[in-house]
Amino acid sequence: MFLYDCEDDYISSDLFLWRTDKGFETVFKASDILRKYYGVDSVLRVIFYDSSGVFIYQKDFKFDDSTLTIEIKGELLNREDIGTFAVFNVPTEQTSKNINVTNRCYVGYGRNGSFSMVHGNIIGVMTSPKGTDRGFHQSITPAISGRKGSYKYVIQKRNDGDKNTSLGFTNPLNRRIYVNVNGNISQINPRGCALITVDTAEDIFEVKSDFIFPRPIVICDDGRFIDCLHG
Amino acid sequence: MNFFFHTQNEFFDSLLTVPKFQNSGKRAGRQNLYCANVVSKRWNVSKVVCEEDANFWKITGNQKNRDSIYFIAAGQEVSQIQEQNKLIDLNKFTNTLPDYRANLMIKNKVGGFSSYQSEYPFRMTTKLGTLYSDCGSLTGANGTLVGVFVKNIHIYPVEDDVPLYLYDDREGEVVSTLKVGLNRTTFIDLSDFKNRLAHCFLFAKNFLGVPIYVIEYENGSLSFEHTHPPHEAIGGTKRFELVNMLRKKASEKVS
Repeated sequence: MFLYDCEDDYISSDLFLWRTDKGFETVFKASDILRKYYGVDSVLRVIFYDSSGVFIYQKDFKFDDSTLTIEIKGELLNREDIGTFAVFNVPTEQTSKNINVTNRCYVGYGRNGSFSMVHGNIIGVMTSPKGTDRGFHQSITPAISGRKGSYKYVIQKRNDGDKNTSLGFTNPLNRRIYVNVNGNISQINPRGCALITVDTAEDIFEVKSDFIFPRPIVICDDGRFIDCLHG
Repeated sequence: MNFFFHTQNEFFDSLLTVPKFQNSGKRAGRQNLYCANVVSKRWNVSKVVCEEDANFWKITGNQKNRDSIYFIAAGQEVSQIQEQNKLIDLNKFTNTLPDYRANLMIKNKVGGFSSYQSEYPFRMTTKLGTLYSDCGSLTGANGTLVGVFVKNIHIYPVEDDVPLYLYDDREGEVVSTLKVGLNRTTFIDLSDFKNRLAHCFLFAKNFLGVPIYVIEYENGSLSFEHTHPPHEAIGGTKRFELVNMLRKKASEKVS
């Protein structure tokens, strides 16, 4: 199912969801994996996309510590919206070492500086640590099978009726996918996302999709507190 | 087979919600939810009496069940655990890809809540390995309370204490020597160290467990999430060799 298993050398990433809409802030934390395991200096390269999967921009962050924290607020992206981002530990110099990074990292969503953290949901995209002739973001490819099918995933968490629950899906593939949550259907562009608020009396969420791994981030909001978890 | 557990203490209530269905939708059928506790060096197993509906079992944590473990099984299977006095991989119902998980939620006194999808795989209960967990990813200096629950489940009904080291990798020193217990949920308050946790790790020899970090913010909001074991951060054929080197270095540092 994961395509990096076929590669000798790769750096991979979840396709994370960012939120700056409705007062939300996003925080992201990553470890200096290349220093820790390979003794190689690196930067954390973050590639931002909008909800339609359109590339916004990329930015490199230096590791001043073994853990790097990035706050994603409206000012950073100049928009209050939702979208996706991928992160890669990119060596600062050429290395002959074979590098295989599947760093899950952690992302948190919240308001006013308090965040509910959740680890990466699914390794979705990858590229080579050795660089390519193409631009960096053009070199990013899916890390998971794009095989079409009729897939079902039932989230093993109760739908708490007293909370507003949103399911955040991202699409790491190079083709459009659909997700159907209890009859609520969304189409998602490559590198894009959908945040589905499910208004249902059902106490379980059933996801149907043509994507093999339609597992969302679950965001529960009671108006005062926010709880985020991977589905 | 997976086990499920609580994280209840004086700061937080714990609510465990176990699904009766796999993530493919397949249902548990005639299986039920059981719990096991260590009582006088023996595994004591009983059927769980709790709030339930067609889709979930719901168990509230308390002083009595804070170290209990829960599993799904058929009635005729569970007697083997007491007879052999060890945990047994009774069935495959919770062996799924993606993993079969239960929702484990903590709540504080002001209504703050946070949860994660939890499981403790049977294969982890058979080993006494090495626990290594970076503290920086799931802690924050702006929390009013920062801590970690460390859950261990061991195949045999032992309750020994094991030393756990909090090591500051920047300063090159053991910041604190703590204790975790086999077959226990141990809470460690890290609030006194919150400004240096970005460059600290937790380390214990002859102990495996799931570290679940908690941040409580001034407004009552909570964060509750586990770290992955180091071997999930990298792939390739040298994966375990590189992780063993990391652990060896960590072991030398804390010695």
